[in-house]
Amino acid sequence: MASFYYMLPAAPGTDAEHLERYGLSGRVPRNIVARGCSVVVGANGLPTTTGTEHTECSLFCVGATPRFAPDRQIWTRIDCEGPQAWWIGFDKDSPPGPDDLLRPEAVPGYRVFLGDGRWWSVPIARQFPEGTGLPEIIRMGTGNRLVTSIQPAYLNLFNRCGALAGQYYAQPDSGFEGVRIPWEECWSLALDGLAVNYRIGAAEANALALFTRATLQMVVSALIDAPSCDEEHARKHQATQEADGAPEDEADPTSPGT
Amino acid sequence: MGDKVAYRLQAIVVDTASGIDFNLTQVMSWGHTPNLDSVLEKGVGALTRTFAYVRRGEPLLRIVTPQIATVLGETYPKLKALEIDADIDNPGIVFYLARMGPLGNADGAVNIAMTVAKGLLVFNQIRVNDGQGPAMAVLDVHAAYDGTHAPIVIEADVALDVTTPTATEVFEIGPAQINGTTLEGMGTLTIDGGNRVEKLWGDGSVFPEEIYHVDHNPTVNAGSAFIDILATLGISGAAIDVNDATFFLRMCAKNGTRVDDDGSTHISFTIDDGIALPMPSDFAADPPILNCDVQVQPTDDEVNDVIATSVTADIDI
Repeated sequence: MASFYYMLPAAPGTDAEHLERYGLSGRVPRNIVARGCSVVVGANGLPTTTGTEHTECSLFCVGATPRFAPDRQIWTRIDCEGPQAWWIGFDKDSPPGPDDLLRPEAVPGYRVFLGDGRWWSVPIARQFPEGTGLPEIIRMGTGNRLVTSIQPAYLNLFNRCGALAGQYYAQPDSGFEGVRIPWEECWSLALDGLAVNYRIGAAEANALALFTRATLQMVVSALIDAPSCDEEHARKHQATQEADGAPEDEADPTSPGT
Repeated sequence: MGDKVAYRLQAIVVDTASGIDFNLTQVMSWGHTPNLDSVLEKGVGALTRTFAYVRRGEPLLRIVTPQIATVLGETYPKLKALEIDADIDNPGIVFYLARMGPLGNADGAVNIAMTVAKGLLVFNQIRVNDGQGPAMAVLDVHAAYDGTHAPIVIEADVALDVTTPTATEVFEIGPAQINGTTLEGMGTLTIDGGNRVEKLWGDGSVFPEEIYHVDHNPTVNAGSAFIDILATLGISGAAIDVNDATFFLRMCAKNGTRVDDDGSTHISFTIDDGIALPMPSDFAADPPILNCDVQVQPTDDEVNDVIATSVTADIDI
């Protein structure tokens, strides 16, 4: 099983607190293997082993044996507000992929081919024309009627996709041309969508170069169930055409128009 | 006959100025060895000694605790050492003795605290034998003189810091694997920190004034009924290959037996570089089930710690 390596500057506290400080708890939730390592930060800001100014770090990964071996790994520096910069890495020979990062609670959705050359599953946050593929809580309401609500953890994604889906469904002819969404929000939505099914955050997505403009659009498209909307629109369009064309094709030869 | 007082072990509180804070609330024992070297002098030609003094003291406190996940879960000491330092808000490490009362512990500030404000908390060993009780970690506290306080300050009439110590961690021996070969029937596991400290006295001081961690050469000794491992390793041992050497401690389930393998609360030790050696075997007719010992000596690449640990491990062998 391939894993990301998380190299965090050494700091007091438990391993769990250390990961929490860098917002990594949700991505490295269990089976965390830890190891101290002493690295040198090179001129390019990446960790290396040659040099004299050593920085004591803690190296974490999931399930495997973490080992800093820069010649066999690809490292990315993550600058963040608050704590010191840290680094994320993976083995060149076995970059972690969807199978390695899949959450046990993953929900079904569209399969999308992303920048790392692998298929990832994107949940349907907004199902066309209504509904969702995100986990819902079903309660028994009054009058023996079931009441459903989105699980709180997914509510933010559900709401943000709702605004986008509204725009898209309103004018499917224009596709994403007609949708007003900044690229930053598009990126953020795509990441949050993937994070439903995978232990992944911005650092991991950047390290694997998952997103291009094309793949971003595909992920967001999947999140709002755009393919179903397009299909329905195409079907309606065809039906309209057929309806419009029917009198011509099957016109009464006796009609005045002919 | 006056009133008698009696004390019993209570929690050990690690609260350092550097920010490492944890409590040991499960303590099997701790011992205080003053290591006093006394010199006796007598007048020349006299029959008896007339002068005695302490030349040097080298106080050591040794803790035995089953709280292995706590010790290994901290950034330090893990399998190495933790610097003990103190400031106005952080006393260093405090060993409490609770005064006993007729109905449990006596109330109020009536207890004893022994505080080390400067020194090293050094991982010594983890050991466990199958069927002989939980795994225990042995930690050594080497105390130094900080220029103001005695290496160990003993105070009476103090309040307890941890008023309700709880027990949450118990581990038994788990499975082990070397180079992909499982050591079936693990019976004993000893992880020795191989830590050595050096102490600096000087200027005629009684107690060490600085303590340095100078060596960390851990070894893992595993005894099992899997005699086949001798054939696997050969008489000259074998290098640890890409399959690594992994040793588990198995978490016990509260009010149950053992936590499931995928419970993510077990402890693992992984060695990816080093050598596995057969240890001397002493085979006898009785008891009939033979055991053999293997020692793994990890090697250091001067970048990565020699043993990787997990306190949230799944047992996957």
